[in-house]
Amino acid sequence: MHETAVPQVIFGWNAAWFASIVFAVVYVLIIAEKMNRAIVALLGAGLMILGGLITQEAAIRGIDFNTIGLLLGMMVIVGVTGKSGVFQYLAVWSAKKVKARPAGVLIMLSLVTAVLSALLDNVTTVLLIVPVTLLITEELKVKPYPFLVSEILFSNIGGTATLVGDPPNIMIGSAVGFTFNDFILHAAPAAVVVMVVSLPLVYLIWRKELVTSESARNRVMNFHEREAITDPRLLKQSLLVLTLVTLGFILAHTLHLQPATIAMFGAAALLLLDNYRHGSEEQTRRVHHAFAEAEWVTLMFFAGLFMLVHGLEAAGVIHAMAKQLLEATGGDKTTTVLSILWGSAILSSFVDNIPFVATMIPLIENLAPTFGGEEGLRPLWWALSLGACLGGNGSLIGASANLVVAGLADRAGQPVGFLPFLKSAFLLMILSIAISHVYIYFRYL
Amino acid sequence: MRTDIVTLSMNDTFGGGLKTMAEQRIRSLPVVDDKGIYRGTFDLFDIWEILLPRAALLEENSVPDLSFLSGSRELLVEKLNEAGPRPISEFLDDDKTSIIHPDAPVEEAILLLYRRSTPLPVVDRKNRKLRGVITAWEILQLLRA
Amino acid sequence: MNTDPQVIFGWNPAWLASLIFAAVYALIVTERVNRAILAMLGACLMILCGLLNQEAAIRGVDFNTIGLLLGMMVIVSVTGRSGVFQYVAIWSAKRVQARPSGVLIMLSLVTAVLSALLDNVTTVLLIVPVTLLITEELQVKPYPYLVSEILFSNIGGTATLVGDPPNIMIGSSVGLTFNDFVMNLTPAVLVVVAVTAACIYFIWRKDLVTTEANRARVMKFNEREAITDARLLKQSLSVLALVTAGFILAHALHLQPATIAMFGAALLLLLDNYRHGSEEQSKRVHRALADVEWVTLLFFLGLFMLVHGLESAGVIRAMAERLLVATGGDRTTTVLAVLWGSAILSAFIDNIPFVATMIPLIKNLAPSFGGEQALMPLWWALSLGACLGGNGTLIGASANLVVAGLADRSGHPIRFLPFLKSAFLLMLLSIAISHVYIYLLYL
Repeated sequence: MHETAVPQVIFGWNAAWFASIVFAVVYVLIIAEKMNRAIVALLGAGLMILGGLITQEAAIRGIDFNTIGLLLGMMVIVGVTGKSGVFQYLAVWSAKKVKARPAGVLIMLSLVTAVLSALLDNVTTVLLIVPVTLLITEELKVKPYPFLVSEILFSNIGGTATLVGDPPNIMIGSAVGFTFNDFILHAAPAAVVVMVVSLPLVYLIWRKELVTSESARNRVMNFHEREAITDPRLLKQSLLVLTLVTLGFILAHTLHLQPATIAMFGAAALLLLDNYRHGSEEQTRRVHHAFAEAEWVTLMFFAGLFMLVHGLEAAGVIHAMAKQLLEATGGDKTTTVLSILWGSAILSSFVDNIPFVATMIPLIENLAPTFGGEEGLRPLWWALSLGACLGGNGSLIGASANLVVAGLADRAGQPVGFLPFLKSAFLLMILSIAISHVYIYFRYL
Repeated sequence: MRTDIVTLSMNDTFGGGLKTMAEQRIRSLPVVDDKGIYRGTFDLFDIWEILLPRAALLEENSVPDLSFLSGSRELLVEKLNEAGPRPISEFLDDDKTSIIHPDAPVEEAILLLYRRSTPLPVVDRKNRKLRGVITAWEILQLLRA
Repeated sequence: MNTDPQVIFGWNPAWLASLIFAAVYALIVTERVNRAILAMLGACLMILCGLLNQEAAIRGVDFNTIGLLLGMMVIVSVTGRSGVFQYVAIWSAKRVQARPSGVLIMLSLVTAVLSALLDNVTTVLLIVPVTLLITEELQVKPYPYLVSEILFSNIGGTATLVGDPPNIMIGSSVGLTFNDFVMNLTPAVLVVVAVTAACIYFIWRKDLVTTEANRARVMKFNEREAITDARLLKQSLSVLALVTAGFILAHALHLQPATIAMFGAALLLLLDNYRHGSEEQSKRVHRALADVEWVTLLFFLGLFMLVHGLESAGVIRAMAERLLVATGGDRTTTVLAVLWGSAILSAFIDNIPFVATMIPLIKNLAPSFGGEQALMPLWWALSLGACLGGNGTLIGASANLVVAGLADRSGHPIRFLPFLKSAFLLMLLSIAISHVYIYLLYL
C-alpha cells in the first residue's frame, strides 16, 4: 500500500512536516505522562485525518488488526484463566518447591514469569504474577524490590522468545509474515542464553537481601496451594484452550491460519465453556465483564499509533528516514544490522518499544531494494526484534510491562524508582544485547 | 441525627483510635480538628487495610482470595502494633466515606448507608463543621414511629 | 474477491456458509448462548473452514459503523456521569405539572430526540432508571412508560444517520450523509411520532391517573441536585454539540462519521481527565472504555465477517436473484416488498443481522434497476422497514431487550405476548404511514 500522490493537507501545509510534528507532539506527550496514552494517540490520529493527511479508510487500512486481534484474544483467555486461581497456585507451588528460601523463590518466580511471558502477553503476565509475589515476599518479610525488578527483566526476556510473547514480535511477525516457529528457531536461542546468564547475575546483585527467618519460611511452607484453585472446572477448560491455542500457533503455517484467528477462536471457545451453563442475562453480564477487563487503553493506543505511523508513511517521512539510515551506515549490511540492534536497544530503553517498532517496520521494509529483497532483510528483522524486546529492560519506561509493575509496586507501598532501576537494569540490558550481537554476527553475517 | 457522639481529634494515633473503637464497639469515628471542622473518618476498614497483605488491596489487580494462606496470628499482631503510633491523619484520605449535608433528603441517607453501612457524618455545607451523625437505628426509628 | 476459497473437504462453499450462518442465527434466537460468542465462533469457523482468510474477514468488517458506535458509546457514558439525563427527565416531568399523561408524552419525546442523536441502547439505559423512579413516586404503573420508551427509541433513531444501527450500516455502506437521512426520513418519522403518541395516550389513558399529593411530591424534586458534576456537564454538552455539528458538516469537511465520533470521544476523555495524575487517568480511561457495550460491538464484528463469508460464497447474489424473480423485476413492487418484508422480518429477527444481509443483497440489484442512484428508494424502504420494524416484538431490536431486562430486574416485567399485542399493531401502522410516504415521494 504505497500512496503515490502526496496527500493534500489543510492550508496547503507540507505533508511531511505536518505528519512529523503531529507524531513528535504525540510522542512527547506520551513520555511526559501528563495525558493518558490512548487519548493522545487517538487525538493525534484524528488530527491527521482532520488535517487531510490520510482519509478514514486509509487510516483503518493502516491498523494492524492481526496484532490487535491476537492481543485481544490472549487478554481475554488469560483474564478468564486467571479466575481459576492457577497463577496463584503456580507461584505458591514453585515457592514451596525451593523450601521458601528467598533466593530460590526469586529464581523460580523469575522462571515462571519468563515462561508465561513467552506464551502470554507480558502485561497480563505481570499483572497476575506481581500481586502473589508481593504476598509471598510480605509473608517472608523480605524486600520485594529484587523480585519485582527480576520479574520485569524476565518478562521482557521471556517474551523475546516467541511470536506471541511480546508486542514487538507480534507486530514484526504480522508485518513480515513470520510464523511462531520462525521465532522459536531464530529468536529463542538468544533469549535462552540471555536468561541463563542473567539469572546468576540477578542472584549475585541482590544476594544480601535474600535472607529470612526460619519461622517466616515455615509460614510460607504451610500455605495450601490447592486452596488457591478456586474453580477446578474452569482450570481444566482454560488449560485445554491454552494448549489448543499454543498448538494452533505452532501449526499455524500448515493450517493456513493467522495468529489473530487462533487467539480469538480460543477466546470465544473458552468464553463458551465458561458460560454455557448460565442464563441469558447472566451470560451477557459475564461476557461483558470478560471483554471489559481487556486492556482497552493499550489496544486503543495501538490503534491510534498504527494510524499515526501510517500517516507518517503516507507523507513520505519513513522513506526519508530510511534513506538517512542508509547514508549513515554506508549501505553496508553488517553495519546496518548491528546498528539496528544497538540503536533499537538504546532507543527502546527510553522510548516505549511499541511506537518505536511501529515506526521501524515500514522503515526496514523500505530498505528491501538495497539489501537484495525480502530474504536479505531477515537479519535486520531479528536485530530489531532482539533489540526492541531486550532493550525494553533498559529503564522503567522501556516497556509497558515495566510501568505496570512499577504502578502495582507503588500502590503496594514498595515503589520502584526510575534511577535505582536504571542502575541495575541498564547494565544487564547492555549485556543481553552484547550476547545478541555475538549471536547475530555468527549466525547471519 | 445524634449529636452526642464520640470523635477523634487530629492529635490521636492509630493505636488510640483502635482502642476507642474496640472498647466502645463503634464501627466508625469522625475526626475533627480543634475548630470542630470535619476532617475525615477513621473506621473498621482502615484497620482491615492495615492487617491485609498489600497484594489484596490492589483493587482490580488484587489477589482474589486468601484461602491458601496459613493463618498466622503473630504477623498480624505485629502489623497492628507497628501501626499504633502512626497519626490518625494518615488514615483519613479515603474517598469511600461519604458525608451528608443537613438539608439532604432521607432517601440520600439511606442510599449512602446502603453503600457503606457506617454511621454517616452530618457536615455543614458552608463551614464544614461536624454537626452529628446519622445511624441506621435512627432512620428505622423515624420510619417505624 | 479474487480466487475461490479452498473449502475444507471440498465441500460446497455456498452450502457451508449458509449452514454456519443459519446455525449461528438459530442459536442467537434461542438465547442459549451469548450472541457475541456465537458470532465470533461462527466467523472463526468460516475462516477455519477456508471460506475466508483472515485478511478478507477483516476487510469485510465495517469499521466505520463500529468506530461510530464505539465513539458515541464512550461519549454518552462519560456524559451520563454528569447526571444530565436525570436532570432532563425530571425537568420535563415538572414542566407538565407531573401529570402522568403529560409525563408519558414528555419522556417519550425525550427518548425519541436522544435516540436520534445517540445510540439507542445507551439512551434507554439512561432514561429507564429515572423513569422507574418517577413512576414509583407518582404511584403509577411503569408499563406504559417503558413500552412507549421502547417504541420511541426505535422511531426516534430512524430519523438520522447515527440514531439506529441499521441506518449507520446503510449510510456507511452506501455513502449517505447525515443530511441525506434528515431530509429523506425525518419527515416520515415526525408523522409516525405524532400518530403513535396519540395512539399510546388512547390505549393507556386509564392507567395514567394519580393523586394530587403524588404529583406535588414530584413537583418538589430539585432537578438541579441531579447534576452531580457541573463542569463535566458543560464539557459533555460542548463535545456533543461539536460532534453533531461535525455530522451535519461531514460531507463538506470530507469527514466520515467514525472519525467525528472517535475524535469527540477522545476529546471528551481528555477534558474529563487532564487534571488527574497518570495512574488515575489510566484507571478512569480504562473504566470509560470498559463501560462500552463490547458484547454488541464484538457481535457486530463477527456478524460482518459472517455476512462477508456469505457474500464470498455467492449466497447473497443467489438470494438477490430469488427476490427479483419473486417481484418480477418491477421496482415499485420490489421497494414495497423490501419495506414490508423488512418490517415483518425485523420484528422477529434482530434487525441488525437482517440489515447486514440485506445491504449486499440490495447492492446486487443495482444492474436490474439502472444503477446506484435508482437504488435510493430501496435504501429508504430498508431503513424505515428495519428501524420501525424493530418495534414489532420484544426481540425486534437490542434496545427492546435492554428495557425488558431492566424492567424485569425492577420487578415490573414486560412479557413477550402482551408487548406484541400493543406494539405490533402500532408498528404496522407506522409502516403503513411509511408506505404512503415512500409511494408519494419516490415512486
